[in-house]
Parts: sequence; C-alpha cells; structure tokens
Amino acid sequence: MITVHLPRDLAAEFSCRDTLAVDGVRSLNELWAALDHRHPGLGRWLREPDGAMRRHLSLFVNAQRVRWADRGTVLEDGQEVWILRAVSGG
Amino acid sequence: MTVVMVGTYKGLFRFASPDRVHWEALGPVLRGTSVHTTAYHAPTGTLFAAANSVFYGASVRRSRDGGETWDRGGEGLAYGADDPERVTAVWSLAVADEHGPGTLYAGVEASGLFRSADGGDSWAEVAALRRHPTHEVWDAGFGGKCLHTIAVDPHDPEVLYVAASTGGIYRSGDRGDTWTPVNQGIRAEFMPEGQQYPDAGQCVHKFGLSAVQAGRIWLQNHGGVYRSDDAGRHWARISEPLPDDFGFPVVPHPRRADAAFVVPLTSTLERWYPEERLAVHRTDDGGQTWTRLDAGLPEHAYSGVLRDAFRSDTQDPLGLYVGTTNGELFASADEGASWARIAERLPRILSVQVVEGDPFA
Repeated sequence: MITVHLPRDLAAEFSCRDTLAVDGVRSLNELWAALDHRHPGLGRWLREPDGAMRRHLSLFVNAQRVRWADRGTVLEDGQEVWILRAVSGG
Repeated sequence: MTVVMVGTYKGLFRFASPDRVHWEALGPVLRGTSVHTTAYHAPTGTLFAAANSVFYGASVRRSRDGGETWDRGGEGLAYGADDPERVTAVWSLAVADEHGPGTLYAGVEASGLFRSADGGDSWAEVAALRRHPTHEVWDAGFGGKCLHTIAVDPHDPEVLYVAASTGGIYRSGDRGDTWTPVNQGIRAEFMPEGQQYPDAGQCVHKFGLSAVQAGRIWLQNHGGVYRSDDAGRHWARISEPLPDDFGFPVVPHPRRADAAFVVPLTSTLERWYPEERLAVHRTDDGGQTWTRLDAGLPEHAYSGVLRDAFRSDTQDPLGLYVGTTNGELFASADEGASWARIAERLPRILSVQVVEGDPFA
C-alpha cells in the first residue's frame, strides 16, 4: 500500500481526503493511473499532456524529490508520496 | 438585476444591483485563482470562467448558480503531448449560439483556439488557425503569447474573428475551417521602417464588432485605434484626436453604429492615464472626434485598464463598467457622462463582464 498526500485545496476540489491509501501500484505511472481512475480528472490537474508534473508542483517519494524524468520510479509497499505546491503563486 | 463579474489575478468578485445605482458586493469565489475572463449563457443560466491556476493549470469552469459553486471544467483543453507548445492559460471566451445549445470558443496561451459543442464538457482545438502559414511570426507580447479576443459575427454566424498578441486579427468565413489575416493597414510600429505593414504579426490589443452595422469593426492596436467598415479588408486610423494612441480595450456601442469607447494610456512606459487622470473617451461620429468622459473618475491615478476590463451592458441609457489594475471598479449608468466607484482595494482586475438577468435563480 502506498500513502499519497495531496495539497489540501486539490483534495477539496475533488471532494476527497488529502491523504489517500492506494493498493496495487508499483510505479509512479501506475499511481497516476490509479488516482485518475478513482477521481476522474485528477491526473489532468497534476500533470501536463506529456506526463510531466505541472511546473509549480513538487513530488517527493520517501522524502526524496523526484523530477519528472523519473516518473517511472518504482514504488514499494509502505512508501509515502507527497505532492506539494511549490513556492509559487505571487 | 445587473451583475458585474470582476475577474482578478486572485479570484472572481461579483457586484449586483437592481437599479445600477445601489450595488451589493457578493463574496469572492474561485479564491486565489486568476480569472482572465468570464462569459454567461443565458438560456442555460451557465456562467463560464477562464480560471487559470498557477499550480493546476488552465480550465474553463462552470457555475449554474451565479458563481456560488463551480465544476472542475471539461476535458481536452490542451495541446497534444508532442506539441511544442502548451496551454498555460485561457484568455478569452465566446458563446457562439446565444439561443442554441451553447457552442463555446476559448482562446488560450500559447495562442490558439478551442471549441466545445457540448457546453464545455469537451474541447477540441480549431487546428486550422495554428496551421496557418503566418503562425510562425506570432510571438509573445509583454502579457504572454495569447489569443485574447474571439467574436462571432452577429450578422453571419458562419463568420468568426479572433485576435492574438502578437499575431493580429484573423477572419474565418466557415466557422474556423480556414482563416485569413485581415491586418492590412494596421501598423506594427515595433518593426523596422519598410516592414511596418506585414500580413500578420501586429500587436492587436482588442477588437469589437458592431452589432448594428455589418462589417464594422473597432480595434485598439498597440499603437492606434482603427475602424474597418468592410470586415477588415481596409482599416482607417481614427486615434489622432485622442491624447495618446496606446490602450487595451475598445467597446462598441451596442445600438449606435458610429459610437464606441476607449481608455487611452500613455504609450511611454508608465502605461497609466494621460494627465494622470482616468478618462473614458467616446466617439459619436465613427472616430473623427472624441469626447473625454471623466466626471467622477479619479485624478492622480497611476493604474491602467486591461483589455477585458471594460464592458457595456445593453440597457438604455447605456451602462459602462471599468476595472483598473489597482483594483478599482467604476460604473456609469448614463453612457459615461458620470461615474461612481463600485469597489476599491480588489486585486489587479483582469476582466469585467456584465450579466443582465438573475444568474442566481
């Protein structure tokens, strides 16, 4: 099971909790697909059409920052994924 | 009821009035999100907002209760994964079938045009526009590379106009299947001498179609106000009497063919009002002469009015609504003869839209 932490405003938009438990995923790509299946449209809010994370969002897996090029990153049971709003917004 | 929808850099503010004199401020919505523009489809009571989140991207969100609650927008408002450009913001909206099922157009940054035939559930690019050979000369102005104006010809629903900055004004006679740049006669003063009248690449700031005279277009260029009486084939520069030729919005009078309104700004880098006093200018003779309208507007004003932040209603006498970059909103219920401040201390105002009727019903 992977634990995913979403920004609170994003969770509110999708009427879900900001901490989600996701079973049966082994990579970030599978995680995105699972999140989008559970909350249709969520993937579009997180990523560009080419799969890159949106420019002003940050992604951490077990406290390590993951760049968009690493989106095939393997996930293991018990890991935590944080999606954070970057220091942006004016 | 008249409701003024004020899109700002940090959310949508709404002001409602039963008589255009007494205004009630309703709470801000879409908080923290940049609202570049809004549109209202009266038959379905749907309010559309070009909602651009710095974190989650661009969207056209919909409200059926006057802005109290919003959906998350439809799908497809993006260029393809292999496209060299990305959709980073929605700048413009147009409802094509006022009395029909609700065909919508959205103009985006990087400049391009999308259409929805299902009221905004799904979007597809009007791809012929970016495939036009002149697309290669389009570039970003200071505000970004944006398609900021869309208009369906009120006299011919097959005819569609758009304008991009930079890029210029384009006309389609077949609802977007093919396009023709109609910039001849509009000066691109930022180009070298001898190259200032290109087919495309002009920095058109805004245009508006006359609702009463077919083929008449009013246009505020980066430098100069222009009028065309033949659907853009020829243009006449009409800004000589104005205190400056720079500005963003232009508002045609909805009933009088020879009347239109502009807000000149200084063409030097301040980009605030000539003589440091906010003033609307109205022509009643097709642009030969202009009347300065500033009763009730502030002096010592060091702000500007952006391209979508000036609108009229359709009532008689005509109501006018102006939002400034320092967050002030002014209204006139007498065609600009006198003005009153409706709001102040709002975020930077990007857009003003007028809803006539009751969007909260």
